[in-house]
Amino acid sequence: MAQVKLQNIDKYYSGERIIKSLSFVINHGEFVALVGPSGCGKTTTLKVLAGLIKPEHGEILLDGVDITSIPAEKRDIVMVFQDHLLFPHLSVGENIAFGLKMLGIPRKVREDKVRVLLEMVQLPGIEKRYPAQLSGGQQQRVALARALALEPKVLLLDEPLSNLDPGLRDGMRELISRLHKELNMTTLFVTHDQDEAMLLADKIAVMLGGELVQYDTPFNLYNKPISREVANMFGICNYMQGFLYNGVFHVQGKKYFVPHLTIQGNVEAYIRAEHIDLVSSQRGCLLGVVRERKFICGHSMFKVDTESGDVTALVKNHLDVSPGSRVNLKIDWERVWFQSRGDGSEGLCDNSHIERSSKYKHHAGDGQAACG
Amino acid sequence: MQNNLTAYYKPYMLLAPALLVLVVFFLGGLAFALLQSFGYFPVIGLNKLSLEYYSKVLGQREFYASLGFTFYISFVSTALSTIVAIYLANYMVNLKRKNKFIDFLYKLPIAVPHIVAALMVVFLLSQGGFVARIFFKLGLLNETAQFPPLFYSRSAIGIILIYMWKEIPFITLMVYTVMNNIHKRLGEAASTLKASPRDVFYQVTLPLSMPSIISASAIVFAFSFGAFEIPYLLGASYPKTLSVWAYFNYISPDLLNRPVAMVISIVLTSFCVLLVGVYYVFMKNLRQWG
Amino acid sequence: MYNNKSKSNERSNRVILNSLPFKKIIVLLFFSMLMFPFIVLILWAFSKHWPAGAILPVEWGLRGWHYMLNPQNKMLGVIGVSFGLSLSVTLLAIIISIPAGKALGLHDFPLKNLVEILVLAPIIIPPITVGMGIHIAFIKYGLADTFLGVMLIHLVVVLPYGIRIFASVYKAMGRKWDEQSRALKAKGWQRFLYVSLPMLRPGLIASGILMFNVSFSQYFLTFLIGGGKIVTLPLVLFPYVNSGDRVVGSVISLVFIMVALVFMIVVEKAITDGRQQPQYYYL
Repeated sequence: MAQVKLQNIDKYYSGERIIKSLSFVINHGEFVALVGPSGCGKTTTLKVLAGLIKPEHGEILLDGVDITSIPAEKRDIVMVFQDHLLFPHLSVGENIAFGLKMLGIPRKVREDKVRVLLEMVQLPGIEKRYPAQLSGGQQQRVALARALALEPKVLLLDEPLSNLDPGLRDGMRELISRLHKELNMTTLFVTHDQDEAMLLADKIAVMLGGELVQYDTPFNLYNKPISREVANMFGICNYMQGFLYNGVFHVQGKKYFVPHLTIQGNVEAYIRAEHIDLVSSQRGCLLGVVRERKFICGHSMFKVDTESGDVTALVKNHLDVSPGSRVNLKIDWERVWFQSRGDGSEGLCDNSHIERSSKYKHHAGDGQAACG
Repeated sequence: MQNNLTAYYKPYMLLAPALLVLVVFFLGGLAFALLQSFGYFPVIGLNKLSLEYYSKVLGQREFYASLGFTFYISFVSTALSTIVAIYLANYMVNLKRKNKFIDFLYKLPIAVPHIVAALMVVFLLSQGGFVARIFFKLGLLNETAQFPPLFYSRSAIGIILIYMWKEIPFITLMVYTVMNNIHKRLGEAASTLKASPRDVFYQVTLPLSMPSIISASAIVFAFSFGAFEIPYLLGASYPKTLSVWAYFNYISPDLLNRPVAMVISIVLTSFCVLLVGVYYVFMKNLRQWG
Repeated sequence: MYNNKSKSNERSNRVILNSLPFKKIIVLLFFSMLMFPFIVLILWAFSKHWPAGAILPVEWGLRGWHYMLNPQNKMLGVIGVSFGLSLSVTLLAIIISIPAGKALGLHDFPLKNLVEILVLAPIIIPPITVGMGIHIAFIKYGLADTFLGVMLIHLVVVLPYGIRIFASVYKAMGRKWDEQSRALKAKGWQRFLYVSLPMLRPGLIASGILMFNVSFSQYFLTFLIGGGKIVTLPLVLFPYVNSGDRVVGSVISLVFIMVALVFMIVVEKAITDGRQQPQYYYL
C-alpha cells in the first residue's frame, strides 16, 4: 500500500514563493494528474516529492512516515523526466538495470528483470542498443521501464508525452494507462494538457500560481468547477451573473425557469458551450446574431451577440447558419452549474442538477444546502 | 552555375588566410626540420639525404635516458594534475551554490605564465626558499640547505610541481563546465534511480566527461612533453629532456650538430603525435555509444 | 520494492573519505598551495632586506619598483614591446580565425578532416621543432631578428586556439540566424555586423584572452626568432628564475601578471553585453 500525503508544502526560489502551502493526498493505486499552465509549480512539486528539492516548510508522508528529509536516492519514489534522460553511455539494458545495480542486485536478476520490462513496454530484445539509436517514442518507453524496474511505491511522471509526436503520444498514453492498471502503482502525472489529464487520471489536481485550486475527479472538474479559471481549462464556458429566487433565474431583465433549484441569492451561472443549442422556437430562448462560425472536429462553434452579451455555443455540424443570421439560443438549464457570488463570500454552492442526480438515489428529497 | 561554384569554393576562401599561415610557417617549419634531420643542409654543404643522424642519435644511451626522463616528467605531472583536477571539479559541481571566490581563485594560475610560475615555485621550494626557512625555524632542519633538493635533480619534483600548479587549474576549467552540464542534466535522474552522490559521480558524471578529461590531459601532456623553458632552467644536467638536449645541439658552434638537433626534435614530435594519437584512439573506444 | 541494505556495508568504509569536512580540508589545502606562491612573490617584491634563514623580510622597501621605473633599465619599453606584440598577434589572429572558424563550424567540404588535423597540430607538436626548423628560412628571407618575424611565428602558435573556439561558436550558432536575417533582406556585411558579430562575443572574449596569454608568455620562439633583438617580458625574466636579484625578479613577475590580468578584465568588460549570460567556449 502506498499513500502519499503532502502537508503545507512551501518552496521558495530566490525569495519568491513558488509553492504556496500545498496539501493533498494520493491514495494507494490512484492515478493523479497535476495540471496547470507552465510556471505554476507542477514540476517543482514533483521534484519535492522525488526528494530532489527540499521544501522550506511542510511535510511529505509516505504511508504515514515522514520522508521530508530523506534524500532522493533513499526514497521509494521514482521520477520519469520530460526528456527521457537516458544515460547516453549505457546501453538500453544497462539503463533499465541502473537502479537495481545501485542497490547491489546481482547481475542475473537484473538481466531477467530487464527482459521482462522490455516486453512490458513492447520493445523486446533491444537490450544491447544505445539510447542514441532509438526513436523518441522508444527512448521514452525505455525511460519508463527504467523507472518501473525499481518497483517504486510511487511513480512520478513529468510530462512524459510532451516531446513526442501526436501519433506516438496516443500509443504511449495507452501504454501508461495499461501499465497503471496492471501494476496498480500510485502515480502522479504532470501535464499542461488538460485533455490528456482527463483521459488518463482518476483524479486531477489543478494548480495555479503555486496553489492547489481544485482537486477532484475529471467528472467533477468538468461539471462542478470551482472557478472560472478551472472551468475554462476543461472546455468552453459562458458566464451569466444574476439572481436566483423561487426557482427562477433572473438575469438582465430576463427570466429563466430553473424549477430543480431551491437555493436563492446572487449567483453566477457556468454554462458550457455544448449545453447551448440553436433552435427555431423563441420560447425561453436567448436571441442573438451569429458573429463567427468555426468548425471544431464534429461540432460547430458559434459566437453569438445576444442581449446578455457574447455567448459561445457548440452545436452539431448539420446546422448551416452563416454569420449575420438571427438565431435563438436554448440553454439546457438542468446542466448549468451555479456558483454563489457577492459580499466577498464567493464559493461553491451545492446546487446543480448534476449533484442532485448523482446523490438522488441515496438522499431523495434531501434539501439542498443554501448558498453563502 | 556561377553560384554553385562560389558555394563550392566558399569554405576554402574562408580558410585561405589561416591555411596560408599554417601551411607556410607551420608545415614549412616541420618540413625544414624533417629535411635537416635527414642531413639535407645546403648552407654547410650537406646535400644528400641519409639516415646517418638518426642512427647516430638512436644509438646513444643518452637518448634513451633523455626520452625516459621526458616521459617521466610529463606522465607524472599530467596524471597527478588530472586526478586532482577531477577531484576539484567534482567538488565544485556538488557545491549547492556557486562559490564565486573559489571560481575566481582557481582560475588565477591560468593567467600566470610558466616562467613566472617557475620563479614563484623556486622562491617557495628551493633550498633557501620560504618553506625551507619555515622548516628551519620549526626546528625540523638544522640548516636550510638540508631541505631536499627539488630542482636540478633527477627526481624533477620541482619541475613536476610547477607543471601541476599550472595545469591543475587548466584541466579543472576545461572539465568543470562539461561535468557541471552533465551533472545538471542527468544527476537528478540518477539520484531518483537510487544512485548515491558517489554512484552519480562514478557511474554517470565521470564516464560521460571522460572525452573532455582525455582531451584536456592530452593537451597538457603534449605541452609538457615538448616544453623547453622550465627543464632548461631547472632540470638536471644529466639526463636532459629531449627538447633541452635538442636545443644544446642546435646552438652548438659546430654546425654539423644541427642535423642531430633536428633528429632529436623530430623524434620528440613523433612521440608527441604517437602518444596523443593513442590517447584519442583510447577515447574513441571509450565512446562506443556514439 | 527493493531495500538499500545490500550495499550499506561497503559504503560505511567510505564514510570518512566522503565526509564533507574531509573534502573541505583537502580543497582548502589545495587552494592554500595554489595561493602560497603568490604570497611569497609579493613578500619578495616589497622587501628590502630578507636575510637567509629569516621567515619574513626584516626590512621593507620599493627598490624593485624603482628599478622597474628607472629609464636606464628600459623596462617600460620592454612592457610596451611585449604588450604591443601580443596585442597585434591577437588582433591579427582573430581576424584570420573568424572566417576559418565559420568554414569549419558551418560548412562541409572535401578534406575537412585534414584541415581539422592541421588546425589541431600546432597545439600538439612542440614549438621547438617548428621554430628550429623554420629558423633557417627566416634568416634567409630577413624575417629573423625582426618584429614581423616574431609576430608571424607567434601567429602559428595562437591561431589553432582561435580557430577552434570560433568553430565551436559557429557550430553552436548554426545557420538559422544567418538564414533568418537573409530572409529579412540583410546584405552579407550587414548579416555579419549586426547578427553574427554580437553572437560571436563569447568567442571573442575567450579567444582574445587565451591567445593574448599564449603569446604574452611565449619564451622560446621569441628568443629564437627574435634573436635577442626583440626583448619581451619572458626574456627579461628568464635569468631571474635561477639566480640574480630576487626582489627585481619578483617585481617583474608581478608586473607581468598584472598586465595579463588587466588585459583579461578589460577585454571581458569591454566585450561583454550585460544582458548576455557569460558563456565560455574552450577547445
